[in-house]
Amino acid sequence: MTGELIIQQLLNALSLGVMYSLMAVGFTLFFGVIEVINFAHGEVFMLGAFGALAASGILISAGLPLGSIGLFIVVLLSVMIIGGLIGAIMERTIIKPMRSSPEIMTLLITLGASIVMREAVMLFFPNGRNPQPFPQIIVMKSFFIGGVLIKPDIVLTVVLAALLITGLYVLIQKTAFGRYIRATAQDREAAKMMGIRVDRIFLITFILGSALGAVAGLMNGMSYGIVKFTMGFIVGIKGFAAAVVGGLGNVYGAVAGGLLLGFLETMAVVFIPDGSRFQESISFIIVILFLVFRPGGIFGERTYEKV
Amino acid sequence: MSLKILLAELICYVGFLAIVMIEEPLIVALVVVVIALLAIGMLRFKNDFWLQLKSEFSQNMGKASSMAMIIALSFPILVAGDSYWLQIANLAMLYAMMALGLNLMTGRAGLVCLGYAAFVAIGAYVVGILTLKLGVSFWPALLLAGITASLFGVVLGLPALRVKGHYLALVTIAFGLIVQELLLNFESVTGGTNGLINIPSPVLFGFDLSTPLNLGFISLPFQANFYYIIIVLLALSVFFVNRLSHSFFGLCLNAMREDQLAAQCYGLNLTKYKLLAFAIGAFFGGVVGGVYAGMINFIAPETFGFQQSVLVLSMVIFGGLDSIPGAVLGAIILTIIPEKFRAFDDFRLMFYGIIIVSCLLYMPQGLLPFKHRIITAKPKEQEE
Amino acid sequence: MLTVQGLTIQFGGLVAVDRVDMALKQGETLGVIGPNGSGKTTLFNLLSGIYLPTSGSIILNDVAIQGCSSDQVFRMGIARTFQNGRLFWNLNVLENVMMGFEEVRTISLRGTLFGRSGELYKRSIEKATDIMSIFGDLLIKQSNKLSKDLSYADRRRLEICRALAAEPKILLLDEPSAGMDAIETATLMSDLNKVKAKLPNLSIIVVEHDMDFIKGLVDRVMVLNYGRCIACGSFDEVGKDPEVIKAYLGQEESEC
Repeated sequence: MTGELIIQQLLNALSLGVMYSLMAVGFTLFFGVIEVINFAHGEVFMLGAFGALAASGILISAGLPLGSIGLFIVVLLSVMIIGGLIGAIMERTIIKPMRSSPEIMTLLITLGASIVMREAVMLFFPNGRNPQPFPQIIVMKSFFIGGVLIKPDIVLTVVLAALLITGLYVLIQKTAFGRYIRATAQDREAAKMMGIRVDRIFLITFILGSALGAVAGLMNGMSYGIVKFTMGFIVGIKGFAAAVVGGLGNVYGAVAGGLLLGFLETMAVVFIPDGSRFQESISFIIVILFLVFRPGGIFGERTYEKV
Repeated sequence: MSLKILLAELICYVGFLAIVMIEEPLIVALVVVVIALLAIGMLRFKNDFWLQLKSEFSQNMGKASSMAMIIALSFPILVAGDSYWLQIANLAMLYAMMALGLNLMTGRAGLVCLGYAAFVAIGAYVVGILTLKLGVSFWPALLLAGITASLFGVVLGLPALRVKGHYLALVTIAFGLIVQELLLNFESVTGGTNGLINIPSPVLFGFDLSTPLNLGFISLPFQANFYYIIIVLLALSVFFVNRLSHSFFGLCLNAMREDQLAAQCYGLNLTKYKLLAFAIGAFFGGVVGGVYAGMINFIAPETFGFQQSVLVLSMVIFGGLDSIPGAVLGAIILTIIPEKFRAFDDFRLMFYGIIIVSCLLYMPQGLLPFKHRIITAKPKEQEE
Repeated sequence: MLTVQGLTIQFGGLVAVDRVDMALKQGETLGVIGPNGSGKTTLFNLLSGIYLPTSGSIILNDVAIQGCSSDQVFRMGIARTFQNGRLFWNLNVLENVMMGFEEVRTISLRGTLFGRSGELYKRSIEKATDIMSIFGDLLIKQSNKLSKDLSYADRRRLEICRALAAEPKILLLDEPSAGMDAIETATLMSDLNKVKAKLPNLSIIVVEHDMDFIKGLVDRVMVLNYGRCIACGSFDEVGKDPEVIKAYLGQEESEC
């Protein structure tokens, strides 16, 4: 295998990885702050892609030229709004009422919600049953760097993800609002007593995480050029797995976990004979091994159960 | 006193038959709504009659369930050999067996499993491969299907020794997906996407179960054979699960569900109990898969996907976690109702999703919540 | 019967229990006191096999148990209660007590499927009721309540019953009177003294903050501070120990 091809594959791994990272950040935020696993997060991803499809359709028919940067920005913003809205609705209708229920119940209700969302798209989105071509929202030419073909959408994906994650970092670490989130994650009761409106923090956490998930959906649509109502399930599971590998509740871990998972998956296809046929199995077995031998994730320390 | 139980069951059975027989979906919807309203009204008012009936049932569970089984024997004759509804009934009972197995794992032992369909797939493929390719006869293959599924249960149980809660959910989902991917890709053995076709039908005492059942006064389609086989299997399953649950073993599983650390500090070998819970729960799945393979004669990987796992779990939740009658009833109701509305077949999964969500929001205890066992066996000296 | 030597556990940089030595005779009651965070509960977690010690040994009747898991330790005869109460919340009171019984754990699969479970149940219910009678009818009349519906004090009592159901050689009580008022604490003390009289061979280690409770119950006191044993002896001796006074009252010695 030539060096160029390896770099090519590394770039592919990177673009897959940042998508997983964005998903994993959502999972890790929900778990860190609210202590729920949102199995419907994959459907938010899917709805993000469909939202982008619908929004670009509307915008193009309203006269915005296809492939322009303006269109891209408007679509991006509307996808984030759609994702945030779905997150807000989900938090209020299914997460909040289940706050005092055992964790298996919360887990199941999000699974139920994911089925409803997926089926709703299949039934009610025009021609939702079939895979739909995703418009080329932004047009850029591929270029070569040192003999390596660089696809622009990979660059765009990576840059966008990096921007979003940096933004999240700044929000969480540098602002007063981020301090409230961290305080709530550490000790919900104490935060409440210090006058933090925990309910609102939960809601906003959900909006944030879901908006990021929806953007991941948009990226997926842009890099594969096709969207389908079933696309959310496996990405959701992968995002969760990436969050677990990075250590649930740890935002940086989630980013690293996503990159690692994307990398492993791409390499499994390249280096293991017949790897593409067993792609899922390979990555899941790695995740399971991780869970068993490093339950705290990549950066996790050994935890002692509180007695 | 057991007359009351018999009467109540007969009324339910007649209602059930009515729902099955009436073709017009609107009327069925009406009947369902009326029944639901009646049931909710009864629960709301908690009048004496209802309470009496309830305690009557809970005190004579054994009698009540065996009577229900005997009543159910008449079903193939009463639907006059309608092969479609017999098939649905068969599937409903197979789902009930799966729900029982999963309920033991998740409801009783508290081990979340979102990959239950994988055990069913394993059972189905064991029977399929053994009977089709190696010429083994069905019944030993069925037993092996259960045992193989159990072994896989132990395999899945191994990571479960170290992880719990959400992590376990992820591991079990991954297990289901891995099994499905392996079935898809080992084409030489499993037939890949095409699956296995022409799996031979079972033969019982020289009688080929794929031939019509002649009762003398009526000739029933071959599904009736399976109906009787499955009802016996279901009865056995209920009996064994009931024995397991209402025993010290079941109590230990409960304790493990409540608090693993405390249970361990009270002498429970968690390894043993977790692996046993997985193995026993998976056994039922394997047997169901085996019967399914022999009945439908065709299996393919997509039949046993994640959706199926969620479906079985929603049956357990709908019936009430850790409740045996709940699991059976939940499975039957959730299989029959969508069949009635098959004109809206597209909405079937949506329906399940809505059931799961609304059930957890408004009825988290389920249809028939678990009852504590000691309440009736209260020692006398405390009652003064 | 129980000998602990050089028991140490380290969490990262923190040495939570530091070279603790202790010995417990059969039938003896030992009180463990010390300021919050002095390592009392960690000591219990080490004794009951939840934590693996970094070094040191725990020897029960000539058998080293420091590497055993908590279920093994339990089966060798050390039963404990938990500081925050860890009952099986969705099981009723009787079932919680029954979880201490050996026959519940050791039943075979064959016995489960084909044995007479009804009869076994009935017998252990009687046995459990018998054990609960140490607290009069306080718990017995609530036999069918779920343990999560009990009052705080009753949860404490139930924990003790569950531990006693195992017929342990050594009973570890982690702050049994926490959450009880003065009268309840006094009653608990006299109830425990009754248990001691009834089971003369039972050794007890009790962690407690309530000094009157300790005084009325134990034969000997061990004082922990920063994970180290700073004094050991009878209650009155320990009370005069200058290091203990310092640990409890800070640097300046005030008249107390």
